[in-house]
Amino acid sequence: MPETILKAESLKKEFGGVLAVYNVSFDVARGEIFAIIGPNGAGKTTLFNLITGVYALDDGTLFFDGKSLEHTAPYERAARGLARTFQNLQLFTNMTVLENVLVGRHTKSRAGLVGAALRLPAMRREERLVHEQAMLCLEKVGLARRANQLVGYLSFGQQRLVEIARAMATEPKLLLLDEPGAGLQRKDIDNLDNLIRQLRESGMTVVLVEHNMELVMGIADRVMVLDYGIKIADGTPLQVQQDERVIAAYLGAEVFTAVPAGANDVEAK
Amino acid sequence: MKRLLGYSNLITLLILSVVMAILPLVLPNNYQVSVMIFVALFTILTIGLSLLMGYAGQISLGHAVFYGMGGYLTGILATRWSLPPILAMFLAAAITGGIAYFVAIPILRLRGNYLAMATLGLNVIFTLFLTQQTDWTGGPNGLGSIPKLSLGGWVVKTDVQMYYVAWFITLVILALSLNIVNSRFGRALRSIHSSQIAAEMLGVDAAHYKVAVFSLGAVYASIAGSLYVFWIGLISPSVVSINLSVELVVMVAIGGLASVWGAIFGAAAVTLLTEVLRNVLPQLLSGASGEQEIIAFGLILMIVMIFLPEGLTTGSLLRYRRWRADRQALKELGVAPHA
Repeated sequence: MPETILKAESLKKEFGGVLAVYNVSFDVARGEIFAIIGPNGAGKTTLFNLITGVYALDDGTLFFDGKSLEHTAPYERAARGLARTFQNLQLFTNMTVLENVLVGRHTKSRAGLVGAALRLPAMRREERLVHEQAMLCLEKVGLARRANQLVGYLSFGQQRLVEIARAMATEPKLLLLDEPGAGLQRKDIDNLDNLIRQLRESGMTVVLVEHNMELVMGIADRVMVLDYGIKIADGTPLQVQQDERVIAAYLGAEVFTAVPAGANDVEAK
Repeated sequence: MKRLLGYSNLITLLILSVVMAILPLVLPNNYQVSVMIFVALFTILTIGLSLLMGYAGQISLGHAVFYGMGGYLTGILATRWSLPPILAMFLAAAITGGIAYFVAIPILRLRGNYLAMATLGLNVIFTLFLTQQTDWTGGPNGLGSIPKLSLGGWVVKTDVQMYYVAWFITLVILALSLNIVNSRFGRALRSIHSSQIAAEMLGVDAAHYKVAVFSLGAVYASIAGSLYVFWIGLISPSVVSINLSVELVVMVAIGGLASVWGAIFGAAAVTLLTEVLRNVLPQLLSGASGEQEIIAFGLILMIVMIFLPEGLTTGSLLRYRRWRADRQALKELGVAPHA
């Protein structure tokens, strides 16, 4: 049994009488790629917001890396190794690509007000180091060349990559990707697929919300399915695809036919 | 030297220093020198407000409070407790920064219009306090007979001497602030401005940074206030009026929100414009006096905001960059850019 990095127990979140997430429990094992799927409005993004602390839980508990996340502000969760990207891009549009990624090095650097104002030697050393590290992240996503451009000049697909690079820069133990494939072209999806695999190989755990079933079924070790805020299934991609409740939730099986039957047997172990 | 400041900033700062050093020798009379001292004080105030508004994206309509607080504290410390002026100045800055820190903790939980209202309220309360609390502040009459600034044995007596002291301090603050914005601290501020939620997800403690930059601006303002009282010798509640707070916001807006260099420009443009209008307007319109300058001033502000909403410096720079980027794109497409 592999070690659990994220443990969610009976999570509940209500918005004015509407149950966005209800009684959802799941475990994510260290080093796996865990996908969360479900129709629009199923509560996937709400779940991310609960894990990262944007919303407070109405009920339930979250354990990350062996410790409870209760009374932990979002920025403290980041320092403990949690990072995310956003479904609706949240880039710092007033900054260059490199500067966006540099903010990702925030928790891994120290320089304060005085050090910065006087440009003390320790601060300059650190600044050089974080620049190198940020460039390394940009190289991994293939955007090193665009480092000094304002982030708004990049294409939508590239902006998504900047968000991933920025999250990578925090050296997270667990990376939450919220629909990283949305709005991307075929070629970019393939790159994304490779990138996520590389991240996992480098020791990161990835939790992914995604609508592109081909991407999800090809890459995920395990899939959890939400519908109307309730968990209706989880298991290997193959198990989930054959689950009757899942098929019903998606109104038919055609969503999954993009993946040839049996293609996931190898990954399903 | 280069290590202490970015290269292009260093060059600009050196040029500016030389210009400011020569200026009093060229200016025809004392009146103009004293206007330039005001430009220095307003620049210090505007830099602090620009860090808060332009970089961190938090508005304050009460920045004059800390200018007044610095001035009054310096006055009280230097007269009642007979502290050496320079010590009074540092102590006042420390106390003002500390007070700003504790004020900021609750106030900066508010956002947008609510923050504007709260800071405006702060200004009203502080002005009332100064008027009512006659024992320490001298009430509506203000606080007088504040000694001149002295460093060791050297007393800053004349306007020209004050000019050099004020501009020296202004340029130091400018240099420090340029360093701050180009650092981890500055990036954290800008990230909060752009997307607070994303900033927090990357580990930036937004509340902490907002409070820190608010206090920093207050320390700057306090220093400007100290210089003011050393120079003028007295301070009254009218100095701390809401008008000044609004004028400072205008200076930041005209200079360009997220620009330390813009601050100096905004402060100079607004101060000089006010002076020019005060002199020119009565000649153009018979019977026009003090108050009407505000109308012309508002009109000019409107024009800047309509055509260069990012402010004069940032706005022009952005226009230029966009124009260059477009030209570059056209060239890459093989289309000859039209002149």
